[in-house]
Amino acid sequence: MIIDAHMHLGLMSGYFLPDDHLERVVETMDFLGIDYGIQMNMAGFVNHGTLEVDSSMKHFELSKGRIFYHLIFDPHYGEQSLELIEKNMKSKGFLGIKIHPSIHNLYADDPRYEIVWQFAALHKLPIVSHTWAESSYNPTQKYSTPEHFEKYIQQFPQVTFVMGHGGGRFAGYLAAIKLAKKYPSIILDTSGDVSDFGLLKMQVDEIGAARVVFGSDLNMMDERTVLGRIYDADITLEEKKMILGENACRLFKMPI
Amino acid sequence: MTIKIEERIAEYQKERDALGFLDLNMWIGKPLEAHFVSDYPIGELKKHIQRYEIKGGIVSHFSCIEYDSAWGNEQLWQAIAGSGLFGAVVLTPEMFYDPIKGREILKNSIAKGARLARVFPKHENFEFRPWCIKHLLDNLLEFHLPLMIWQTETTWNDIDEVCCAYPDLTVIIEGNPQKILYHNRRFYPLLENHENVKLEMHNVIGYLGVEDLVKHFGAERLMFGSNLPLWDPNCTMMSVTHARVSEEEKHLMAHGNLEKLINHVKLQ
Repeated sequence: MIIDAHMHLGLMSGYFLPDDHLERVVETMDFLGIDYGIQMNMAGFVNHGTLEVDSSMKHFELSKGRIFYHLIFDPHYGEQSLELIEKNMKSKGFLGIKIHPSIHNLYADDPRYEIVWQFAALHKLPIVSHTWAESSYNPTQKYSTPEHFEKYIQQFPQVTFVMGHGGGRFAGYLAAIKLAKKYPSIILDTSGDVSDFGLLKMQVDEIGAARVVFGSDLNMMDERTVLGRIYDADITLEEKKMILGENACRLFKMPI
Repeated sequence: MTIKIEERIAEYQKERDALGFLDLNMWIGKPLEAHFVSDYPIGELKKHIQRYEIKGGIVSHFSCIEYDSAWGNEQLWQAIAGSGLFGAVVLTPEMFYDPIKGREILKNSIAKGARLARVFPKHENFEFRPWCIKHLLDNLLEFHLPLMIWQTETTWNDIDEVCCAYPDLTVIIEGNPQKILYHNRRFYPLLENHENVKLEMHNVIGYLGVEDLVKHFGAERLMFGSNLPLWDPNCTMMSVTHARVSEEEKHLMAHGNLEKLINHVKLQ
């Protein structure tokens, strides 16, 4: 079983997407043998919560239950954002919460994030976050460096916390692995252009394959760029199977 | 619809090996920034070429950027001598201030294995514009040597200007070190306006991007590059093996386009 645990649907400004229609996404999943996906709708990043929820539910239904979703917490509208999540958390297809400190221009350890961690702990929900290293050409990445998450990871050890992109760039990879060795609640995902030679092998060697999850960052990134590096990694077949789907199924308690 | 993962993996590896990838973008030396690899000699590259079933290609040397172009070029020629691999010569404007000497530099570089030229205008403090590098560009054209440039080392306007002035010079754009995806409103028109523009593929990672580029501009415009030892070659390889294009188009991207460029370089 293959599960792409880090997808996006919906639109984003700044560039164009050649083809992101749901039919095409599902057809490509079939072509590549991807059984399920978990998406975080782009509308949720820019405080279009209702559109995010409606689109996510629609995509779940239209994909015949194959594309699950997380809902996005916006710390600038904290209570309102949590209310929306709470209202929809019993809906079919909902699995967890996504945060993105870089898009929201707020450090991950800002007090405004505390309520979402409390909420996740109370309802036993996983949190997935964008993580990256400091970047000379994208200053907002400073909000999402792995170190900034430690405060809440330490405070809420019962919350499964997925570091999307596994730290994003070299300094971030090392910081993410260091934290993951300290806190068993941390999971790393493979999504994005984190194609560094030797990265996956290092993650598996350092924290074990059970804590690494396949994600692509579709509809920005192409799933093939990630599948190829997992398929041919210098790790065992059993480890590949865990990363490609078994881990996501277990960690996100997917009803499949 | 559950599939057997081991069969998927075997299928991918078989298709990859059958395509016979030629790599436009391999590096040796010390990477410019901290990375999992701190030094990468030619011996390590050869091991990985074998491991990933890469049939050959063009090697560049990090020293050309982080230390000195001419010195780095010499390191490269020594490293690839007798290896069966080709090299990328890194050029700067002053090499051509004396046109006769400049011509000799190119001629010697080609004799030592150069089949590609690179420039790093931002890093080396010059302009990627004809008024600044006219002799350099004239000579590349004369020797049919393709020119590769990172999009972060210049501007899209300057690339456009060079392509207008030199329509017969092959200009290959490499998305490095940033994703090229976010510039697709710039490079699509560039590809449309200039038939001499091609894309190196290691950072052509946008969703369904390969299919869309092939549909609009043809597979002749895309060339496989791994960016070893910084990137995992499988990232780009599977974008080719599992692209939903014809087998002929896959072969062009994997090796055919690069073979054509290599064979087109004037050896005398």
